[in-house]
Amino acid sequence: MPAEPPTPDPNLDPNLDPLRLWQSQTREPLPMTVADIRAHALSFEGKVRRNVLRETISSVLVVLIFGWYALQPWGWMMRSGSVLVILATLWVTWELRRRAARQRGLTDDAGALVDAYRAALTRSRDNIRSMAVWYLAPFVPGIVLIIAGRWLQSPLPHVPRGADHTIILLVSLIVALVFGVIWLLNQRRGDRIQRMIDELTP
Amino acid sequence: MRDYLGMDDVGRGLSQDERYAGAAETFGAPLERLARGYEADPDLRADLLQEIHVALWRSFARFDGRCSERTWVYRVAHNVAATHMLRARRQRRRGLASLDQIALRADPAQPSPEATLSEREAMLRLNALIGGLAAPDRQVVLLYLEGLDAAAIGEVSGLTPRAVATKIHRLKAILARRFQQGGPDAG
Repeated sequence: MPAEPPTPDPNLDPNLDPLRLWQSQTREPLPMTVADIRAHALSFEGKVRRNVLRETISSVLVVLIFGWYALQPWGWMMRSGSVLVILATLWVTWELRRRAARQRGLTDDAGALVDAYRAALTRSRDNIRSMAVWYLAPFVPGIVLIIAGRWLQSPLPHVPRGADHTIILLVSLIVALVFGVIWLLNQRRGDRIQRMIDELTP
Repeated sequence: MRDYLGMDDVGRGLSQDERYAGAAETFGAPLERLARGYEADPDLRADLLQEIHVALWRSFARFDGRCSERTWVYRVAHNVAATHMLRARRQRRRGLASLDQIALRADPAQPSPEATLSEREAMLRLNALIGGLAAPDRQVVLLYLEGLDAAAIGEVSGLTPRAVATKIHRLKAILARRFQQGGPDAG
């Protein structure tokens, strides 16, 4: 195995030896004590905990809203749809936590750069590309059931049937568009990450 | 005692704080230069250096002595810096190149009117070279400039010593062209 020692190049002006130049730069020390560093690290962990808390609160709100829907005297389709949305919310929250726990950041890694870098990027790409399956799809049955229930069993009172159906179709279109845009943006993010992975491949 | 602190310190049961403090003392200057190699802006560089130290402190909770402390420190620091570079690159959309690509290009610096390069000019050229490199090659160059040999660079980077030796050979050719007396393209 070649183990070339980093000796100065004989073709170079010895006064301009790059190693000497590089290592003789003036210092810019970090004005922090070990206690400061520890405090910063702990505040970062606090931020992660706050993010998890925010996600949990959002999930609880969704569960409360659709729980209220599920208890209303509407048709069975809308009530069942609400229960399915609650189940989907619980599933996605659990899945987000599971994936976050599994996805160690690159900055936490002491593995070799190329391997750690590629592994972190690959995990991100796979999570993003498969999000249609684990993030969007679980909500589809509940939402479809709610929309079908509104159409078939629970029309708005005092609204002509044609106008009511137009409202339902518009809302359905908006929901489909939101899902489509989320999916499209994530596919583009996945493609960008794939290009970064390709750059790492010799 | 193994390389710097290494396995022996694990055996002695140093605390996370003590191990970090020792590494920060030993590698403080190389880590400052590493941050300089990844970030030219002084304010962002200070943030990067802080991020590296925080990651280093956190990492020592998991240090098991299976590699030397030097390898561990450089891996953590370069991984943090590469992440920083990735974020910055997404913002700036800068084109970065490998050593092979740079070797094929003409030196972008203007020839010096003086017979020899000043140290300041040489340092600017060195920084320009480093600043144009993609993450894996930048890591190799920075470790080479810190005086690590091909085997040690391979251990940190995950590249084979042969691949490292090839990159160092390429780098030396680029440096020779850019640092030789009489201007960048002489000889």
